[in-house]
Amino acid sequence: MEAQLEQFIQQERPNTKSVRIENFQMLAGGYSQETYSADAIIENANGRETLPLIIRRDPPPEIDILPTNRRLEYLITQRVGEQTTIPVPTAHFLDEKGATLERPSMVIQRLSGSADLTPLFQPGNEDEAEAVATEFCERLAELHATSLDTLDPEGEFRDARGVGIDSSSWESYMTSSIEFFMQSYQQIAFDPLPVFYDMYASLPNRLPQPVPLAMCHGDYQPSNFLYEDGHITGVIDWEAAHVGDPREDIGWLYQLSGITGFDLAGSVKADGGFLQHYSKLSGIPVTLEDVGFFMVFSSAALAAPILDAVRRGLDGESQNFLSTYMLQPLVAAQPGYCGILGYPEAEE
Amino acid sequence: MFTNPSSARVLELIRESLDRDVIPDLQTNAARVTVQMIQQMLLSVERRLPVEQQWMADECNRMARVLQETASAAKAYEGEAATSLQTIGSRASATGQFPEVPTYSSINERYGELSNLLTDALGHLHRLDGEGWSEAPNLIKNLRAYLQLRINRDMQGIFAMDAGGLLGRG
Repeated sequence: MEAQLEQFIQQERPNTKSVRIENFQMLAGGYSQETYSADAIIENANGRETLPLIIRRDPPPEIDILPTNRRLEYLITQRVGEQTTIPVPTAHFLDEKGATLERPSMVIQRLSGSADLTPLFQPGNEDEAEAVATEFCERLAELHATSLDTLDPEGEFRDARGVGIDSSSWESYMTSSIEFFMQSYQQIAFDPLPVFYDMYASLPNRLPQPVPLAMCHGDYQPSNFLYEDGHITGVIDWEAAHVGDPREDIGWLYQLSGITGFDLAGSVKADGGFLQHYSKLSGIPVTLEDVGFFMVFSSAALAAPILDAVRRGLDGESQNFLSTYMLQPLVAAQPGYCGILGYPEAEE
Repeated sequence: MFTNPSSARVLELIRESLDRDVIPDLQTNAARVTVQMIQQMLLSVERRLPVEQQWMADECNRMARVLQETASAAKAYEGEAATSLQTIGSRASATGQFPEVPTYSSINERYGELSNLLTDALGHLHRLDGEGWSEAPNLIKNLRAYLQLRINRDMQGIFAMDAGGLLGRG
């Protein structure tokens, strides 16, 4: 792949004399894309330039667990970088069809900073944790307060997964999303999954007050940002970005903070806490009840593709053991869903 | 718990993944043979799982019966060994008879059917709750109390997320 990458960068930058790839390595982990790290040494008329790179490439379709669109990920990374002060990787190159890199791929800047939150949440680091968490809150408020006209002028993120979501209004967005969850269940439930169905079916009766739709990151959670010296150096992994209710990102953040134990929301002190600080900056009111609803809503949105991945593995459509392994987090997530839905004590 | 995949089917998928994803990348013949041994034992467990309890209960009953028959026959003979056989027969008789254990497939089928009915019932109850039927929340609560038991059992007995957390997330 190094040779393909050299060829691709040369094509994209026709005025360069030469491109050499060094330190190429596949990064471990991740459930969706193949991710590689590399340095591109570029020689041109002005001298030598080194680009630290991340390459994100679609996996082969038969082992793709959570299919997302590279072009949209590239586009939103680029637009957020241009239209906001949110630190994101520079979007360098896109191989939309995989003409050179075999499968759809994007090449972006490799940012400095760490994604490991363990040191940040060690005793004694409370001030740095608060600083990072507060910035994380502020970047989210900025994203949600940025006009959709600038982030999505062509409306490509209004139904980013292409599943029939109608985001012409808040009401139609919520209704069509919940309908999608219910229909998905019928198609992808490889086994009776009453807790998941309960989660979906409970949503219409708990709808919160409407707010204007906004650009959602879609996976705004503790492992999707980098930090250094008390500051966020990058918000990453924009593959699930979509137009939606901005409180989805908050519900998901609270959900994942609980699962991972990295309580970013609880570390914000400004204005009395995360929700107050976020609301003050974004102008979007959020109650704890709203957070509870969107913990369920965002979990439902994420569970649908994971359930489908398990189904494809069991049906033999996917030849990736990860499809089978996805059963583990699905089962492990259920007590959390029961908690959100207010399940009573287990019967004797 | 999940009826699909069954525990046996999960083991089959693991064996297949070892073949496809692991063996080709192993560096030594010794490592390849070890994985083949693991696969063989997984296949043994896969075959045993669906019949284990049924066969054990059936064989308990058969052992008790044959020991009782032996003890009865030993009554016709005198001596220490014959007396011991009669004692064994009495102890075997005291263990009692297991009722017939249903086959795994019949339990699996019924579990799946009832789970589907329960899932459908939840959907209808949420609809009635939305229409304002005052009894619906309590009835949902009853179903959820059962489901909480089911989830607790899943977490205690079947899935081992405590062994290393969620693996492979980058």
